[in-house]
Amino acid sequence: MSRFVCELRTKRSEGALVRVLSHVRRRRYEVVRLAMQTEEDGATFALTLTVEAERSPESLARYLAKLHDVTHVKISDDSRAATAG
Amino acid sequence: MNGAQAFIRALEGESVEHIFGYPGGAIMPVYDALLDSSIRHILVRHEQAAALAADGYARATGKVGVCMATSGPGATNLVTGIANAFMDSVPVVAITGQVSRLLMGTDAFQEVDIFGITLPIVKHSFLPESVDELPDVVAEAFAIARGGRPGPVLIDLPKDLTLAATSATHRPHAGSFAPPAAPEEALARAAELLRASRQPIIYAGGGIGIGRAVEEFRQFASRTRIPVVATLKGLGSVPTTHGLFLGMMGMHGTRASNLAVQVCDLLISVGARFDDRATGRLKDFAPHAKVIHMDADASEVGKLRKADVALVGDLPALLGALADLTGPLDIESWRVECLANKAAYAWNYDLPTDSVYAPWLLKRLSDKVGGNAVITCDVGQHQMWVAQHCDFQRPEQHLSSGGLGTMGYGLPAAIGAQIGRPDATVINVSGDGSIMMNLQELVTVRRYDLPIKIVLIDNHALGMVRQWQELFFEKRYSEVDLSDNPDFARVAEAMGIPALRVDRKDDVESALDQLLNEPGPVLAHVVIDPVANVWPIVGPGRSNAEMFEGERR
Repeated sequence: MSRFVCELRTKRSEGALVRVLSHVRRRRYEVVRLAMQTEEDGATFALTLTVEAERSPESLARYLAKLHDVTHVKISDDSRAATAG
Repeated sequence: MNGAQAFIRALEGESVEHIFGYPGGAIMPVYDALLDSSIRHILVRHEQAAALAADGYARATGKVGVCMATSGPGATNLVTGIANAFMDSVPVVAITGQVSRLLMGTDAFQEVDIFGITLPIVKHSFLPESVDELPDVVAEAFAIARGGRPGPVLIDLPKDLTLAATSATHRPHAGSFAPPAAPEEALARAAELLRASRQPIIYAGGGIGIGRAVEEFRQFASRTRIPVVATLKGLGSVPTTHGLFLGMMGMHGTRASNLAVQVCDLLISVGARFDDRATGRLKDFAPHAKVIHMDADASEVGKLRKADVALVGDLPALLGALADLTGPLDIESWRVECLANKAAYAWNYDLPTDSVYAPWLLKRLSDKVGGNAVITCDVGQHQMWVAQHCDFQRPEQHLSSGGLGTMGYGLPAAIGAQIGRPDATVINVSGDGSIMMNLQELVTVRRYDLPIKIVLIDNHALGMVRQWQELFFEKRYSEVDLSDNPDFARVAEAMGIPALRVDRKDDVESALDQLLNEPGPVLAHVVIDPVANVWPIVGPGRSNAEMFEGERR
């Protein structure tokens, strides 16, 4: 089981947030932490997901990058996991 | 004009010629606007058939298929067809009526969140917020549906927007959804692997046809002279009569194909996704092979099998570039070995009984149409027999629900194919379980006088499930008995379709001639042995090397 951080930006369109979260779940990744805000332009959502899964972070990044409204995806290690305990 | 009229004009701007649909309250303004349009609407008798017909239309023609339904149950009845298009990467635009925006979220009459319901099974979806954006939504929806890896797109239309006034007009979508070009380094590495291989196999998938890469694929295969195996949806990527084609691989694939893949040292996957029906037990699939994985969709590469070289991009361009870098390979002894296995394990059609042997009937049907018909099928044993025993010159001739495995697909898909290709011979091969799922569409066939030939293979059972219960559940048969089927010939005739019955081997030739010579639609009710099985088979959780056969019936 790995834990990683996924930062992404998506256009603020109908259902954008639930579409991202729906795809994360569908591909069998679990969101354990979520931060989200609307960017200054009012037209973009920025999300930071901390995700746990047996499957690879790179695969999730490729799935999310396919979504029409997603404009940016970045995967990184969960620094909290590295520093916690 | 109102939003509905602007919407219809936008569809015309996207060169839409046909819509498969069924009207209702929320979508009524659009149906009103349709009366003044050049678009031809095909009225089905169940919205599921509208979506599946749009799918068949798209596969047969290469155009975007369009289906339309009202809100609530009309929309939810499209769901199976949308999922079917999603799983097989078929470009479909599904239009649903929706209650007015003021009523949305209040559990109004025939309100359902079809946007939310279809989120996992669409490439994208739209719920427009203003009437003026409707034409742009249409343009973008079509571009998404057909771009990159194709797929279904939903447009959910609130009724108030379709009645509101607008002057907005259609303009083509400016963006591009084409995949990027593959890096030269990856192409060079792939060419290096090809030159070094001694036992390569090309694994051809549905992405070749969907990606409009058939000509480039054939040139690549001809140039390298590598033996080819195909998935269910890859059939026809090279003609199935091609000398280097070993057959379908996987669960019901040919022995020659599966054996070749299991011993190959290089697997060139083109538009295929290592689906479990094709690979068998994944860890034992192509155990000795390096993999070149060529696909338009980056998310497929490495999803199930690590690729030694990933070539992600436009398939025609990739295949052309790789063919340029690679000449004929020095693998003559391998080719000879593969073709010797193909001959040694060729199908045997001798059956010492008087009853109809379905594989042989389908082989004869295929011989008579010369590989030039469009054949749609449903799901089950007959589907596998079609894949095994019918010849296809092009992938768009073989319309089969691969990913979702939708019973009830075949007849609506045949309707869509015939509408899209009015001059083609379209044959629907079905089973007695599957045909009942969209049987009402015989009326649609009659309504539009579509000359579809229906071959209904009746074993009085849910045949594939019965076979699995026989082989893997110790013959504990559960809910597979369909011996109370209606007289299908009489049902067809009641719906205005002439019919004939075949239950003896000696009657097959004349029955097929009668079927194919009938100028209009016709149904052949073919009765076969209730315990006929599909062979060979790879059992669940087994390696493709463990395929086995039982008694032929």
